Amino acid sequence: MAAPPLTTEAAGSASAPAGQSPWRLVGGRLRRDPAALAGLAIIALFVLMAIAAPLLTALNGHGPNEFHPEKIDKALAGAPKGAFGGIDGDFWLGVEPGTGRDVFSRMVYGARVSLLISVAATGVATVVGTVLGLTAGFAGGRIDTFISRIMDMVLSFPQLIFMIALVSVLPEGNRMLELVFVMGFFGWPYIGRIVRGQTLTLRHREFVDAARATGMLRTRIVFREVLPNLLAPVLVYATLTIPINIGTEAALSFLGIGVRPPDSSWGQMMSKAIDWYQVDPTFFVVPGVCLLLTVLAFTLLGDAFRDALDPRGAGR
Amino acid sequence: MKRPVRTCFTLALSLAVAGGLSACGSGDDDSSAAKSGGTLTVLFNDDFAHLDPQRNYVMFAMDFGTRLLYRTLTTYAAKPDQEGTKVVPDLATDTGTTSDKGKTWTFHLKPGLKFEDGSPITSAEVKYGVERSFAPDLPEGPGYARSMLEGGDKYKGPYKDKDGLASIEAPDPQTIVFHLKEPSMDWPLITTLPTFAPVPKAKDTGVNFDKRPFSSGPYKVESYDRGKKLALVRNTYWQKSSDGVRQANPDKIVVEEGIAQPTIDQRLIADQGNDQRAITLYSVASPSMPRILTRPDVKKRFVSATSLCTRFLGMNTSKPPFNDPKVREAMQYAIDKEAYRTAHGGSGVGELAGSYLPPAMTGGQPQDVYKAPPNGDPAKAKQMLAAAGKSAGFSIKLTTTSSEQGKAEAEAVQQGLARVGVKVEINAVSKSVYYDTIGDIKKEDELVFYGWCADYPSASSFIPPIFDGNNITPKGNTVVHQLNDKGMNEKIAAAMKANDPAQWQAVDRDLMGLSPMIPLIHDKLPLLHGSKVTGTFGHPIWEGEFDFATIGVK
Repeated sequence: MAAPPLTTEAAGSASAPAGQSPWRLVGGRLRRDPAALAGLAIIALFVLMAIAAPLLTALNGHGPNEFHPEKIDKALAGAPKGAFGGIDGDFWLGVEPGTGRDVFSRMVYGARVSLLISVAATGVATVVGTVLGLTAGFAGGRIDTFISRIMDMVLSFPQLIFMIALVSVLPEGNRMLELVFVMGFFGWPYIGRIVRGQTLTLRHREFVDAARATGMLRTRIVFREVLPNLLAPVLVYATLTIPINIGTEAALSFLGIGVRPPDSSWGQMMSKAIDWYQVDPTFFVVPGVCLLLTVLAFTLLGDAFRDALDPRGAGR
Repeated sequence: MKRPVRTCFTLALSLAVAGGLSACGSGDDDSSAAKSGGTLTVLFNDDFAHLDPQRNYVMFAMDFGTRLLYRTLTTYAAKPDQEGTKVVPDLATDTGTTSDKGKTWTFHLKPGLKFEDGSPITSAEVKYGVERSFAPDLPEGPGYARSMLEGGDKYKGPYKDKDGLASIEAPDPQTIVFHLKEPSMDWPLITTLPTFAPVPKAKDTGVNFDKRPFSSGPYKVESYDRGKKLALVRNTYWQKSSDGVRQANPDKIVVEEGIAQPTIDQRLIADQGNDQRAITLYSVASPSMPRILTRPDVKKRFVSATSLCTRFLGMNTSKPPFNDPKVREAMQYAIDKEAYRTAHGGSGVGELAGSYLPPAMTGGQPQDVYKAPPNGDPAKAKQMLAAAGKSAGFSIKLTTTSSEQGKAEAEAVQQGLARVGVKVEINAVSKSVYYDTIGDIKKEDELVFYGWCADYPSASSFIPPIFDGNNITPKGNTVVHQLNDKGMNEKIAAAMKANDPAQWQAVDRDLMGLSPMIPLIHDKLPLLHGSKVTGTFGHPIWEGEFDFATIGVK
């Protein structure tokens, strides 16, 4: 039961300098990767913004759902007064057409929704996928067949269409929870398949055989020998799933089945901005840039993670 | 009795000018300059639900149909504003005569009227047309003939009942007589509806008549590819001399269907090539408004006329908290009508409403019962809520459509009521099931958006269908507030008999006192046309739609 190798390949290459734990090694590699640092910085910024949303809106004094009729032109269907969607010292990113709500306040509260839903949905998918994938891979036989077929079935659904259908028929309740559940439900087989494949190769590795020979319990083998070796691929995969989920949440909000009004989310802001882009392009740019930056940051980080954990693949 | 919201939930906005029309290019001047010829292009974001005269019951399509494809016994003058609500003869020589105070109505047809194949239009075809509206296969049209004609409740239409309806008599080819159950002086207004368009029995194709209505008007269908294109050409047998209303200026009218409304707006704003001779069939999208109103050259081509429609917020009086009239009254002050109107399209889409009846139906006199400021009076509303024992506020649900605009309007109501501690949860449902949802009296939310347009300029086609408690039905309910007040129902019945605008105004005031709904706005329809289109004004009867009787191209 030596320190478990990170991945099968990394263990085989034995390239780790002596005296450093593999995780520390990964940390070092990440620190030297400018793309990873940039991704981390952007994520940290948005997370901070989301956490501090009430403080930030207290700074400018506008709640996310406060109407400001004085900032919009009532005769013109509520087009913002002033250049660039009504940007000024008081409204840092302008106001929403039609209502005069502060775009900055809605943007930071929207960050809460986008990040919370996508991270939570990724968490659900990861946990469910790992548990079921591990079970299938380690148990084999009928259990494997059963779980694998379920995974195939869920994967073969046209996802977005099913999500739309599911969210609209689910009973009235907490919409955020429903979204997390639905997105997690359609996300777990991806991770489940990877985990199952990894488990299958790990099952016959020498250290697992050795553990078995010493009479270790099956559950202990799973948790002490197999699971630690799965962490790296799961982590990489989860990091790369988050941006996909951010996009999905935005898409669902864009299609009108995201969070309920008046709660804001970036997708919902973009959906409203579509109608207004010719009159007020600023309103379109703000949620668009936020989405772009967040997805980019998570993708950069995920890539960097993969490279750091598997140096042989770096530079692909 | 058409619900405006059924067809125009995307109603946008219009120009903020007093009187609307006078500033949007005078119809009369344009008409005199109009000349015959050319092709008019009509841009539409959808397809007509029905062009079959007996099934046509959507305001702008009724205008399109009765002005271009079929003639009715009577019709409305092709004039803007109040003058347009005047009934004039069409197929008939006058607007009908009665010898027994409205129980029997006699019309004489003009001589020499012809269908598109040259065959004569006689009273038999008018009778057959009205009888078609009784057929269970063709149920979509207005229900007046069914409910007002003697024996109408038993008659099943000409397909099943070959003998016809006895209460419509055609003693000779030029004369038609209607026998009503109850006397009604509104009958000449009702005969303006497309139900009263003639249909020859030999040309009746049943449900397929929709695709190719047989013309009695100035134009006939050349080709109709549903959802794509409808082309109308002149009906050469129609004579201007027999028609005092329709000018029939263009040689050809082409409706391009299924174009997104923002694209239509963009094309009309750009005003290039053939689009100079184009109009939008329905209201421009509200985000297009700033681009129209801020450019003087585009603004000149903008039309918005008041109509006989009002939009409301209905309060479900069948359950708490709105079973308490004091709470309902407080809502009249809590609501932010200005924010609602901005979300609906801005100050041009309508006048803020202070009572239910559109002013055009009470001699143009708007009535404001509670005199709350446009943004509401939260302080007063709070006091009233406290007096009603609701100082802690309450939580309710509001049904709206799941469109962007539907949600924006709901948010405007939400923030207004939040000021007095009322928490509103928005229940957004798809447009296609909206009326089924709010029309189910058991499942109806506490608050619902609602709207109503009068079929003809009389309060008797406005107040009874939406306020008379006797009209409450378990499903498909039109009395969405579900208030069933005996005294009020009697007052409505009395006003129906008297049919005096002043008495209707009093009923309107009394209803506001009971406060079953919050009146939001009296609608206007915002429209745009190309620079070479003439005779453009919004007709008050058909929701403010362009009058196709006068329209032409240069």
